[in-house]
Order: sequence, then structure tokens, then C-alpha cells
Amino acid sequence: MTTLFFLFGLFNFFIIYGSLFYIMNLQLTIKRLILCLVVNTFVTVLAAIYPQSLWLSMVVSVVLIGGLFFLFSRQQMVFFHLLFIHLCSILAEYTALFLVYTFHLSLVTHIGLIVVQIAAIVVVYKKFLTHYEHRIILSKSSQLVLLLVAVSTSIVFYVLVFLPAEKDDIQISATNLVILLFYFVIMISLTRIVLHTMVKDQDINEKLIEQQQFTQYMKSLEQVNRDMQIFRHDHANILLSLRGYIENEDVTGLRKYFEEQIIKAEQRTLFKNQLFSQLDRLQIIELKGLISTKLLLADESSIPISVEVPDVIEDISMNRLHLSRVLGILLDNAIEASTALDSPQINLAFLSVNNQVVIVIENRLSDSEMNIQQIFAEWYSTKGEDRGMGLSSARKILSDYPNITWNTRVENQWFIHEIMIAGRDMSAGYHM
Amino acid sequence: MRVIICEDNPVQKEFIYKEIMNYASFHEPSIEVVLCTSTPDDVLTYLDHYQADCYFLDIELDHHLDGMDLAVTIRKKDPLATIIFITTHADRLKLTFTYKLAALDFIVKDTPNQIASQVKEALESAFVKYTQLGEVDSSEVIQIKIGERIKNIRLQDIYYFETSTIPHKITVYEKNGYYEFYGRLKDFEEASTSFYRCHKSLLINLQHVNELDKKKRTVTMTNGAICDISFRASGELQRRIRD
Repeated sequence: MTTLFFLFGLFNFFIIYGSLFYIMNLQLTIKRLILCLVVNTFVTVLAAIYPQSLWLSMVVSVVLIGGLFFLFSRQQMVFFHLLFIHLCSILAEYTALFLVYTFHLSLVTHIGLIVVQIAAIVVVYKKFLTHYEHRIILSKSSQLVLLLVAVSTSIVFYVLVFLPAEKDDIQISATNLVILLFYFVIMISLTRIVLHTMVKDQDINEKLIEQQQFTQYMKSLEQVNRDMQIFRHDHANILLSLRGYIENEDVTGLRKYFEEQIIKAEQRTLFKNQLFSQLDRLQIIELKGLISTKLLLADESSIPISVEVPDVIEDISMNRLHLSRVLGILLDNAIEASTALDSPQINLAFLSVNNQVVIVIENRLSDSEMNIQQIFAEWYSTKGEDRGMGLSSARKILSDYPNITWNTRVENQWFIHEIMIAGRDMSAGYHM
Repeated sequence: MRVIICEDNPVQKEFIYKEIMNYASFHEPSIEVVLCTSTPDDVLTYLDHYQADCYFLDIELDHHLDGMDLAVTIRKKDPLATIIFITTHADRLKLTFTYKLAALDFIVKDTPNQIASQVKEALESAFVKYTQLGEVDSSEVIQIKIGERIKNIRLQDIYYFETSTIPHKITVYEKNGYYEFYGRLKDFEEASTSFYRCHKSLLINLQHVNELDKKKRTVTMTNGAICDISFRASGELQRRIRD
């Protein structure tokens, strides 16, 4: 009996732990392997001591293994994966048992059947996960709902399969199996439908925002166009005034007029024009809209913003909504901090360097703001609530991305954010 | 410090040359202009045989190579070279210069007076960098690469290191801000004698500890940050702070 339990434990070990390592893309280290072995031995011993109440060892096993893999990966979804694997193994074992009894097959075929079924399901499951991984962001609540579905399914399965098994010998009826399979398929398809609609909703949402941003961008372009027209109109006036000064041979007046009027007007218009030509290379519509909106906003408070996009940037490897949100927060903060300054300046750059997109946002600080401690004080408390700055939420969004690092510092009276986003592949050519 | 000037406008070229020689004769006689040319080809030919330390490059060269291309080539040959760009007002690309080409500074073509002061400032910081080249001890700083730019973080300025939920991502909090990079806390434990691993996910600098709360098992750093201490580390930390 004990050997049987031990064999079963070992079998269980390979199936469940192996699948989890595979599904979660975890690295197999000696420390992890030992921890898994310890947990598994504990569960097996528990099952051996209380063979009457199998449910006890089942629950303990789910909780312990889930906790262990949560420690490894820090993802709540691990509990869901675990329950799913349990369900599949129950189903696979049950189907195999049914087939073996009906057709009188050998023990080897029995085990073989179980292994093949589970392996197939796990591989399909992983494909399914990677398919949805980047397209969907599950909120905490929807993760919880999924988990509840999995738990209730597990309980139903357990009641159907194991409770009769405890009374007499294993009852294998075709109806039972059909009900289980049916239930399982329904659950899977329902989850799929829900996920599908979620992806669709998210897509529509993104399209909508893209549309809005595009309209915003068009509006800003129109504004620039109007500025150019005014400039052209002024041009004629300027020439006329110049002529007046020349005819009167008023050189001092001419110099004054030239320095005060012409240079200023020209610089302003050309500068704005240059900004939008830089934005041309940033081929992410959401960002174009966002940045041009913020440019106009800063322009209203006469805060100069310079934008640099020396390379064509077609893609940034992160969720567009997240990116817009973070940039919006940072730009708003920069503009807000600049309104009180005598000579404000905001610089923004999108650079592609070494297969990486580097986003730099910096704004000038006043002399009195040199108390760095104060600026950062609220950031150090990671537990504190959002104090209206939005920075902590921006930080939280980016901290979930393994391919993003973020530096923030004060240097020579500049407040600088540097966001490095490692990409899949970027066009790294030079376009000046 | 050997300086090269590449500027295609002869008036500007003469002007910058004169400003640099001026500065050299009054402040740092060791600064010499080894090449003053209007074509990037001359610079490349020079670099085939010799080396220089500091480059003043015009961005808008009337040539198949512009200042940017030239800078890229120079960077490839000498990653430590100091590059200073000369540019007209309209296309100032400060961040591009800094992060893509690791340029030290740039000079905006403006009134002669302003150019002169800009040249002087750029030259000063270039010279400071030049003299520090051999001096910056790599054991006293952590280097972080941001684009092409290399940022040195002095160990003594560091308050603490913290691991994040993403494996191997470390945040280091220092005097002027914080930085994220990939690495392991273990690799920094020995970097300084004042670093102490007070928790599985924290490595603190004992020089910046302000207060120790034995009951709550936390330390308050001089910047106001509160760090947890593990049960195991608590005793040793008290001893180390007392010393």
C-alpha cells in the first residue's frame, strides 16, 4: 500500500510540478527542486496517513503547491493553472480508467494513456496562454472570478469522482464520464467566450482612444497651419515695415525692430514647425496625439517644449494604453512644475539605441527646489497612497514590465526621467 | 588635452580656434589644438595615425558626412573621447546628443559673445573630464548605461538597494534619485564595507542609517526611507551600527 502511495506521489510529482514549471516558464534550480520535493513528500505522507480522507491531502496539496509556485513567480494565476492541471489529471485518469475497464487493457497502456492525455492538454493550454498573454490584461477581480470557476469545477469533479469511490469500489459509469466531459467542455468554452469578448472590448477601446488621439493630432496640425498663415501674413507686413525703416535710413530703429520682432516671431513659428516634423517620425498614433495635445497645452502657458525623435520609431514593446498613461502623467507633471518658473524648459526625446527605445523627459527646476529629499520624499514610501502626483501609479504600471527600467533623478537643476524599453526589433537607422 | 575642431564656416572656425587658444594660454597650457579643419575627411585621416581627446564638431557640415556621422565614427574608435557639437539654433537636439552619441556638451551658434562663453564652459567641463579619466576608481562607482550614455553612481551616495517583484530587477536609491537595472544584490554586498544586507530584498548603506527601531525591526535612512530588517539580521545590524 505504501509503495503504491509512493509511486502515485512520484507520478503526481512529475505531472503537476513539471507542468507548472513548463506553463509558467520557470527556471529549474536545485533550490526550487528541493522545495518541491519537500512539499510533495509531505503531501504523500499525509495521504498515506489518512487514506480515508483523500480530500484533506488534495486541499493541502493545492494550497501548498500553489503557495510555493506563487513564491517562485509572484503571479496569482498560478493557483488557476494548478487547479486546471488537477482537473485535467482527474479527467485524464478517469477517462483512462474507463477505457481500460471497457476494453480490458494492460496497466502500461493505462499509465501511457494518462500521460499522453495530460501532456497534450498541458501543451494546448500553454499555447492558449501565450496566445492571450499580450492581448489581454486581466484585472484582479476577473482573475478572482476565474479562480472561483476553477475551484467550483474542482469541487464538482471531486464529488462526482471520489465520493462514490470512497463508498465501494470505483464506480465507472459512462454517464458519469459523459457528464464530466460535458461539464469540462462547457466550462472551457465559456471561459474562452469571456476572454474573447474581453479581447474584443479591449481592441475597440484602444481603437476609440487611437481615434481620439488622431483627431487631437489633426487639430494641432491645423493650429500649426494657422500659425504659418499668420506668419505669412505678417511676413508682408514685416517687409513693409523694413522698407519704412530703410527709406528713413533709421538704422537703430531697424536693428531694434529686427531683434525684437522678426527674430522672435520667426523662431517661434519655425520652432513649432520643427516640433511637428520631429513628431512625424514617431509612428505611434496614440503618442502623436497625446504629445501634440500636451505641446499645445504647454504653449498656452508659454512653456517651451522641445521634442526630439531622431529615428523612426514604429513600435514600442509595451501596452499602448499603459504607455500613453505614463507619458501623460509625466508630461502633466513637467508642465505643472514649470508654470511657476521664470525660465522654464521641458525636453522630451524618443531615441532608439541598441535595440532599445529610450524615452527621456526632463524639466528645469528653480534654484529653491534644490532640496532633492523633498521632491523624492513621497516616492520612497511605496505603501503610501497616491498623492495626486500620479507618479506612483506610473511607477506601478512600469514596474510590472520585465523589459522596462526607469531612472529618475535631479541633475544640474534638471528633473530627469529616463525610461528604457527593450524591444523585440527596432529600426535603428539614422534619420536626421 | 589634444583638441580637434571641424567646422566648415571659416569665420566660425577661426573664432572657435581663437577662443580655445585664448583659454589655453590663460588657464590650461596643456590644452592644444592639434587639428583645425573644415572637412571631416581630414579628421578621419588624422585619426588613422594619431589620437585626440576632445572634438568640436559642426553638425551641419556641407559634406557627405555630417557631424553626427563623424561623431559615430569617432565613438567607435575611441569610446572615451569627449565630443562637443556646434549647431545652429533651430535644431538643437540636446537629448539626442547626450543619449545617442554620449556627447558632453553642445554649442549653439549665436552672438559671438555667447559662443565664446559656451566654448569656455564646454572646454572647462571637457578638461575636468579629461583629468578625471584616470582617477575615477571603478571600485567606488556603479556604472549604468542609458542609451550610449554612461552614468556613474558613487557608492557613498547610495542609500540602499532593493529587489523588485520582477526577478533580477534592482532599484538603487541614491542622493539624486533612483535607478533601475538588472543584477543581483549579492554582487554588491562586497562593493563597500558599509553595505549591509539587512533583509532578503534590501541592501542598505550603514553610512546613511538615521535611526533603528528595534521593536518594529526597521531602519530609517537619512533620506527618510524606512527599510525592513529581517529577524536574523537584527542583532548583527545593531552591533554594526554601534561600531
